[in-house]
Amino acid sequence: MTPEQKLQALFAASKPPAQDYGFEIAVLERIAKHRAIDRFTYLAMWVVVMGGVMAAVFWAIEAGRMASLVPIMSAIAACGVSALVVWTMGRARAL
Amino acid sequence: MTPQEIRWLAEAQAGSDMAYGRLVAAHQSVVRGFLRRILGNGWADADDVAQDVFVHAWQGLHTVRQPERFRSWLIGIAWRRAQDYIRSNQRRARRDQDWLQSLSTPEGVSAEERLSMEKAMADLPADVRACLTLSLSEGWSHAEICASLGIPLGTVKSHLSRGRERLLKALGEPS
Repeated sequence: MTPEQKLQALFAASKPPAQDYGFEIAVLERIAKHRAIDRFTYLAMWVVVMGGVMAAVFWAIEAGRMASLVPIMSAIAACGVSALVVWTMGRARAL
Repeated sequence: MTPQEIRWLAEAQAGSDMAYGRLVAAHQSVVRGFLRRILGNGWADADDVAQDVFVHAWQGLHTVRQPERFRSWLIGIAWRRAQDYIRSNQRRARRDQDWLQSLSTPEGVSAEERLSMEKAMADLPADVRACLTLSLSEGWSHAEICASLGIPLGTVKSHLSRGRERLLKALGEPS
């Protein structure tokens, strides 16, 4: 065997197997964890936002000040629409 | 990238974990082999970094614009992660030699030659090891190595020439 052939053989021998289920499962588990954290964060964000909105509505009903809610609700609606537009554009660009 | 892999990539970009799992299966050997050669410190470390690479790639899937360059893009991520790992593990720069025991020696090559080649490889800078691994292990072209590692073409050529010379010398070829 020439040194060149030995070099090729040594590199070929150190390659990992073409299929390794253990590794693939480990990667997919980590991705599933990331996805679960993302979903939890997303849900938590909505719970906080909706909780805030409901608290404001209940406070207004309780205090008889529905009219004072109009600016706050308009701001929340504008933020929601902007977030939806940004998210939709991001998805469209990704696809 | 085969047409089927391009289809899996499109499905993965649309949110399919199963399609991404298929891409992981198709590319894990290249990424792990690359990182094992670059990092050296035992295969477990390289495999940990390889898992990070695939998770990071999954998070950035939407940025892939040219599906046919997915493999280069993946190795680019692996290369940057490997550099981070090397920087944050300076104290472990003296490469652990235990992992060499787990390598099989191919027929026609003695154990001494294998150790000599591995030592010569370990003594090379990380970017030279990266170029050599992609060229010798995976048969990548100079242009593809240049694109994935972000190293100029001329530098890739000189790294390959210098690295090969060192390794061949370690295997007994007269200089």
